[in-house]
Amino acid sequence: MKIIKSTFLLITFLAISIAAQSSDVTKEPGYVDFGDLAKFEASTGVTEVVLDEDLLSVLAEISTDEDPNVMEILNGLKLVRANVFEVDKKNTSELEAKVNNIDSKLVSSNWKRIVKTRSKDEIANVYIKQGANKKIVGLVVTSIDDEEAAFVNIVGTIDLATIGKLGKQFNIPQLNGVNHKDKSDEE
Amino acid sequence: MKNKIYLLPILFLPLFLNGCLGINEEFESVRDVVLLSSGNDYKSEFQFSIGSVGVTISSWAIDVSSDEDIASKILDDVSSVQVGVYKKLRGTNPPDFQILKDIEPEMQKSGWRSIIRSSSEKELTGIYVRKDKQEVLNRLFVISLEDDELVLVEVEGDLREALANVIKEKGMDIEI
Repeated sequence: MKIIKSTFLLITFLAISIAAQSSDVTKEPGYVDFGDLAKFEASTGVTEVVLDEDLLSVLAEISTDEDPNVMEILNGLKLVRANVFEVDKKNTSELEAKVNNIDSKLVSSNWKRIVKTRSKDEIANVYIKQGANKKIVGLVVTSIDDEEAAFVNIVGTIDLATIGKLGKQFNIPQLNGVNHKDKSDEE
Repeated sequence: MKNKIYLLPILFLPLFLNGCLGINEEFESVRDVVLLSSGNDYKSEFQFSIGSVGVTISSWAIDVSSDEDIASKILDDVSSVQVGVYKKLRGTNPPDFQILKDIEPEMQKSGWRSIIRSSSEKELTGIYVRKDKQEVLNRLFVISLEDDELVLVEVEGDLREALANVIKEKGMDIEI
């Protein structure tokens, strides 16, 4: 009797652990911890968007009328997170350092940088993480110019051909750029 | 006895027309936390809740008065709305992101999770959602704090349309 009880308890415990793990988006390979961004929240303009799987599926449901493909794209996503900070004289160098730190961290952990823009006024990077079957399982956009710095992480299955649509859906121009680039390459 | 039957609809009328009742305790507690964190003094301009019948009447009014399709569509799926508008009396504290950080533990304790938090020089916005026991997202709370006014809105019902619109309006404007 004791053995049955212990086995039952063990199975229950394992089931709970597995369920907890599967719902924990931070364990996903496409998830990126940007580290401590709280210090930038003192800036005048701050925006934080966190859309989890539930919300994205709501968006997908609604989006079907406009573009049926968007539903498919959104349904594959597990998280869309964006942190945007207004750039001022006080935080410019620290935000630039953050963008560079994230670059080193991602490149050294098998993320592929697919867009790199560096000019006098702007730094912008787009990275993708590929899963075992070469599917993209995560996307990161980091960017800083003289007005705003942005850190975006999209977790979930993403098709390279639809990255542009994701950019359109979430208003991330860098991703639109990726799409255009691909098109021109194809031509 | 027959005469008393005529009284029944009058007795039940308030149940159907739970239109302009006061806000509930939970709404009050969120309001108190926001007001306390803001560090300014506010006075209530108005606060009320609208039940299902009131919401339906409001959506008719919107249908007739304007061509605001989105508002009308949202109201069609909503079962209740609570609104509070508070005018600043005293205080010089600006709308600061820290206010949203301060209230986060209290919101989380009540089951709210933030989907959008943003602050600019003149405005602070917090948008929160909450699930029911069946794990369905059915409640939305919006905090909008401007220099001289605080507006709180809680919406309950089928929020798919409302959420999609809120996210499109407020959340996706990540101009990099």
